[in-house]
Amino acid sequence: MTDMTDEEIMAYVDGELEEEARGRVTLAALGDPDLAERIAAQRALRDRLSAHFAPIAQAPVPPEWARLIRQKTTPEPPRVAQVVDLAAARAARQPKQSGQTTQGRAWVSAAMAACLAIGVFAGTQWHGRDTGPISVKDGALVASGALGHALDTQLASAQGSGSIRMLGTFRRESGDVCRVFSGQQASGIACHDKGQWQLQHVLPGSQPEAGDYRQAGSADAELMGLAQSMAKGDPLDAQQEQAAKAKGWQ
Amino acid sequence: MKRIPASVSSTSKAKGVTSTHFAESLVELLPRMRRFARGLARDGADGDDLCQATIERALKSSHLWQEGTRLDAWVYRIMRNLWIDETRARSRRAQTFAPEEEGEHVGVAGDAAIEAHAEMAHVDRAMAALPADQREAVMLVLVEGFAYKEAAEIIGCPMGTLTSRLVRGREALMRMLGETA
Repeated sequence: MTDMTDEEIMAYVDGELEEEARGRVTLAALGDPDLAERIAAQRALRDRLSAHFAPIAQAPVPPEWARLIRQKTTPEPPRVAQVVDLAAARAARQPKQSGQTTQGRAWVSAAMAACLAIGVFAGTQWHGRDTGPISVKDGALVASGALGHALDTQLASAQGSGSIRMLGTFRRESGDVCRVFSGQQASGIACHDKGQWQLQHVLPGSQPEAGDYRQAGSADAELMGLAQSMAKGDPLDAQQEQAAKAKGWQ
Repeated sequence: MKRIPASVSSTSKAKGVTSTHFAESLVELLPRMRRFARGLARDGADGDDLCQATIERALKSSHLWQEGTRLDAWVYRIMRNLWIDETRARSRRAQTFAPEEEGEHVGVAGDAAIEAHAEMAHVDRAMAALPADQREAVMLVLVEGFAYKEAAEIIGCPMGTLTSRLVRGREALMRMLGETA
């Protein structure tokens, strides 16, 4: 029986031990079933608590909180309001479903975020990788090359400076993860199905208008409207999107 | 439902304009803040009140946050301090009024769907039974995933104090939740 205090076991489970001490505990546990059991019990407690509280952080927060925070920030330029109205008008034309009223706001704010985003079109081109953005597999259009890579790796919540931007991520009725993307050559919606990104909608891309910067255009708003009609519930928030990515977009 | 004292929730005087970066980072933190608030307050409605009071305080004090430091630790510190103020105010009230509602209050989950789940109610009850300082330590390290050093900084206590609260909190939880953990 290894002589180890609860505090040491706790530090081991919480990842607080230096690498060397950590190795010693692991080694000891291999030859000591009692110690292994104490470690397992501590780990199970930690897992159980974090699983218990996880749904609270995954639930949508009251929308007035974000409003309260954004009220205090720099006022947005007036042209944004027009784009948002466009998205809202389009959303209003979609057939009403149950639960539409509660999810509407999140979608409008996602559309707003998409419209506010300013893409930097420099450096990597759409064809930066060796294959084109779209290929045909078993009769379906699937994303490949740089587009496939962007869909796999880019988060809508953390925009990089690449030529493809992710406008949002959501789940459709079947539970598949779908992503709205915008690029110079094409914009659209792709859903993750059987390990690949199948393109559901493709619209002409948005070439940069002047210099390297541009304001996201009406194609983006149109896509957000389409996304809302396909989606089951609200778009994924930053944490949910991160979690979906970690699970390989399953 | 009890309100957070007005002194901490008044934002009538806006101190200039908060930076967009600060605001968006704070919005991103909201789901986690809500979880921590729920853990501290042991109740969905109280937790949301606490979360809202924290947002208001953070906006008022945003000029005090230093760019480059962790916003989550800063906001959590505000939240736990507000919660301590609130619990002190409540115990003062409890000395004035008969504390009969205290019993029914313990372990009551605000979200009916969650409460319906027996296993969940079980964990909620065990957490609610912990002394506040142990519950706070358990929330920060086991649920929110802070390192001991970060959690001790948020609470404002020495590392040794934090680890001994953690050990005692865990022992108690293990006892209450049994071997089925």
